[in-house]
Amino acid sequence: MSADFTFCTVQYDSGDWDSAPLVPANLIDSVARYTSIRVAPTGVSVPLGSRDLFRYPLAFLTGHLPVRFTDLERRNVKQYCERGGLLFVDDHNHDVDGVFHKTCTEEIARAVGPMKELSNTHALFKSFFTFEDGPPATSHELNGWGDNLIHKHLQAVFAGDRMCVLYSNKDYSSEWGYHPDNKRFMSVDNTKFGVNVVVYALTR
Amino acid sequence: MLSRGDPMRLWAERTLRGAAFALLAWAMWRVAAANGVGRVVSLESASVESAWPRLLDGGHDAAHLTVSGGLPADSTRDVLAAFAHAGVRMSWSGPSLSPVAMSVERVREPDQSTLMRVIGVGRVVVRDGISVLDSVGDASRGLTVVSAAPQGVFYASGTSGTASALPAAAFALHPVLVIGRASWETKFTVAALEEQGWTVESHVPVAPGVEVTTGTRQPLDTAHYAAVVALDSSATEQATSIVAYVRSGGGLVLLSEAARLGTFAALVPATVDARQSSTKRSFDPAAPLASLSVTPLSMHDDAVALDVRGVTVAVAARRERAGRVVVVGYDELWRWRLEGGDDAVFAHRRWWSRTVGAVAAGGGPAANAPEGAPIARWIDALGPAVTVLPSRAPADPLPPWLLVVLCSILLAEWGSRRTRGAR
Repeated sequence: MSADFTFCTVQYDSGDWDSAPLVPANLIDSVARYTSIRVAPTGVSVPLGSRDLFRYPLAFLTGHLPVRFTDLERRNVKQYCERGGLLFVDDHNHDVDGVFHKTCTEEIARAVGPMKELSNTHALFKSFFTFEDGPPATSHELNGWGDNLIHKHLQAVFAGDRMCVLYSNKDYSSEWGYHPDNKRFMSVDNTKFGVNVVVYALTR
Repeated sequence: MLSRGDPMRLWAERTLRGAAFALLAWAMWRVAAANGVGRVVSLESASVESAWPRLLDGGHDAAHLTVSGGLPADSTRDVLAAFAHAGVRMSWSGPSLSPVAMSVERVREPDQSTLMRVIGVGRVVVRDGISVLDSVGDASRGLTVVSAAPQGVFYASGTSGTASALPAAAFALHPVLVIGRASWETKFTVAALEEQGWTVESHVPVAPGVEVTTGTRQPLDTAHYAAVVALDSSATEQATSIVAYVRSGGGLVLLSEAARLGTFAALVPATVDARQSSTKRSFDPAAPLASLSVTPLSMHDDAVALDVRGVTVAVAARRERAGRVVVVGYDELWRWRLEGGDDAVFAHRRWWSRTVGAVAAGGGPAANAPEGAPIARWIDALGPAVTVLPSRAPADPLPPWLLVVLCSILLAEWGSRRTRGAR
């Protein structure tokens, strides 16, 4: 049985693209646990500047450090968005004054246009599980780390009516960065919103 | 006393009498033939209209038209047909005509462009009410013209005449139902069709008992859906109703995994074989379809191949009662959109739209214009061309020389008898 979905983390030349190595396994586990999506048991990492990026229409980008896309990376991000790919970006710093947020939002704006606030009633929040209040808060937000803010909204860039960049300041990279076996110790699985992102990307 | 005379002389007299009777009989036949045939009027197509007074003059039983330089106008044809209906034997001859045939229909896609197919002999020019749309030096292999916004009646002008057709009426194109798992194929098939203007309803199972749907679920019939696209085995649940839908006139596009479902066995145009990998190691944007793996199709007798890769049939179609079914052997078509060349997004959505349009229910060919088939109407009115011209009545049924000869024969016979003393 071939997989219909493979989790993809993008490698970019600047910064620390591999700052959340446990997130892929955790989300793959959740997708397999809750859905019938044929998910590949392991994820892949592909360079943002390579043509391989286009084999994975949902790609995850995270980090703490400043982000500067190369020309090739910028061109790929633009074309990826135009063709229907969805780049899911998470600020691992959870800090609106942090270098990742400032530089990454600049790069996204240069590549595909400025981001705008995503309504909490957007279909993303009902694509599988229902999140009535929009994106679920992370323990890092609730504990006052980073910018000491609970970000009420995600941000996004749309190509026509299709979302092509989903941007989070909520630090899901930390929230989901644990071994899947440890889900059993949690009263509520905090990766469920990740399932919504995957289902949304595959169906809308 | 009667002279018995010379036997040779008697024989000569009998011969002269026989000749006289034969000449009289021939003369009577000529008179009868002249009365039976009547007069034939010869017409030339270039000057036929000036001959109407002669035809109206009466006393003409037949007319023959020699056609040159193309068929006369429709009005001329109608006048000649009227004379034929009035009892004048009408015939025509001329060089062999070069027919032009034309069909017009709306493309079964959201833009509903007008598709004209023309075939003829020699040069053909296609135009609408405003301007020339296309032309070809030799139309014997056909000419296809697609026009987004044509105006008025369509004409295809050949060397012997002009075919014409009225524009086909626009029609209501119903939504397309896409059924597939949560996969990139499903996502980008829906995207391609929507971007091309189709209204798409999708049923995408994502978990047991959980389905992501777009659109309102309606009864699966031709009043609600133009076509169904089944991408994989998730169509199993609706397979029986899909079969009934197709047989009542609906369209169905099956990707190879869906085509393997047993319920569709009676519908599919081809048996789906094992998957055949692409010969290319990586995706070649210049040859997107050749870069994809393909599941070879073994066609059934009544199927037609729509796309062939080498010796492998990649897309096949057949009719199932009132409906149409296409099976697509290409796998991971979505990669075309993501990894193809600069026009990949457009080409991918165009390919999907055409594939669905090939089976979609709705619309029909346009009616021919009243004078749309001039050669056919000409032959219908005046019959086929004749190779033997109608017999003409002799100008003078009893020529003077006939009387002279007859009198000479009778005089010779009478003189012979008298000189030998007979009466």
